[in-house]
Amino acid sequence: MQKGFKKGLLIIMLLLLATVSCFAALPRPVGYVNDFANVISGDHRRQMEDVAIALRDDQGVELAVVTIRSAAPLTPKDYATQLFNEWGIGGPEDSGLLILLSVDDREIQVEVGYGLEGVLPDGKVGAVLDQAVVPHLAKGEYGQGLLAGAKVFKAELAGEHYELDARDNEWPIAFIIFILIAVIVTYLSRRKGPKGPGGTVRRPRPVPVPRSPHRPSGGGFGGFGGGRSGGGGAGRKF
Amino acid sequence: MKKGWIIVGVILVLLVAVMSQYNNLITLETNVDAKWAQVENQLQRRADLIPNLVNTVKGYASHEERVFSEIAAARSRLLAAGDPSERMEANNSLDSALGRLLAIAESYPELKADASFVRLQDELAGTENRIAVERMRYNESVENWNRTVRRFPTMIVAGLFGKQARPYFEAAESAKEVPKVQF
Repeated sequence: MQKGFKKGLLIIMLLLLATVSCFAALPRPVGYVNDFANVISGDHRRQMEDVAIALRDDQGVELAVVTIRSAAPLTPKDYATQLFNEWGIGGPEDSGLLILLSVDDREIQVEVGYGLEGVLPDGKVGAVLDQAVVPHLAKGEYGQGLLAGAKVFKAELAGEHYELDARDNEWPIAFIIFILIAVIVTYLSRRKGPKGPGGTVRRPRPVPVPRSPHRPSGGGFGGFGGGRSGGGGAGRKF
Repeated sequence: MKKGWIIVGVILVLLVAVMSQYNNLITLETNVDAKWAQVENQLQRRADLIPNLVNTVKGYASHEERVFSEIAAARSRLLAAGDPSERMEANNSLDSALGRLLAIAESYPELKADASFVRLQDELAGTENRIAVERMRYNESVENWNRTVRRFPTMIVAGLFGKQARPYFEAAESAKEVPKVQF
């Protein structure tokens, strides 16, 4: 009886630990290139960042390159999907692209945001991996392979244009509503007549303005947010 | 006279309570339906891929008639299925038929190297991932819905308007195997 109880407790604790690590394991983004596994040289990283910044400024596409040692307890594909949606790569039009290299799983996964599924169908992503990326990865040239992949995807996306920042459209509407409410409330409270000196003028609550992370054009990394994916893309073992 | 006002007040409060619960239910139900529509999208997408895939395989392995007809049967059952639970069942039998088709492909090296077969396999794998993701999102919305519909006091309002629990979309038996933990 005692033994069974202890065993049960152990199982419950292990399960709790598993769930906690499932949710807590996802790291925060540190830039467009997130070399958590430490396998990319400084030179390759800078070149990849340049590709990512050019993609953002020219095409409105957000690219995230991530390397990890292992995706356990998830599969690399599930890890990629969760990471993509957690970080929100791609902004309001879901124009995001995640290249995830899981070094110890010896697997690369490319996750394509909803907005890019038309331009980058899974078959094309798989072909790019086969031709440009996997040959390098198989030789252990991780930085070289990821950079080559980023460049080919940039070329495939040439001529596309997406909107990364919807704030400019949302601001004025919220502002106009705010002003309208303010005017109406002031008008109504004035009409009720003064209850004391000046009357009790109720202040309207400020309308919360939707905030999106600031993306400085031409500058460095400004954070992700809002992009979604549904599991599209392709992956390869190497 | 005073008693009458109290009754009116109670009825009004109840009415408002029922109304807000009802609106809440409708929001949740719409969410479940929307998520299911996403699942259907992806199921349709896979059904559309299958004829191409089968034709490519036929080019190299024309004598594997049995698998082709199994797939064709499962596919037409999927397309004919009406309600979600029928669809889920048809989808699971399509899953196993497709698994057999891809297993056959393993023994044809030329087929495995065919560029259009590789592309179709990528599309198929991507679609399966999409189905898995949308299925997970659907199941989450169903969980939320079922909890609300069964809980007191929303249960009463749900019963009043004939709202019932929805089925989960379970994965096929083969995909369900969980690694065993031993102590």
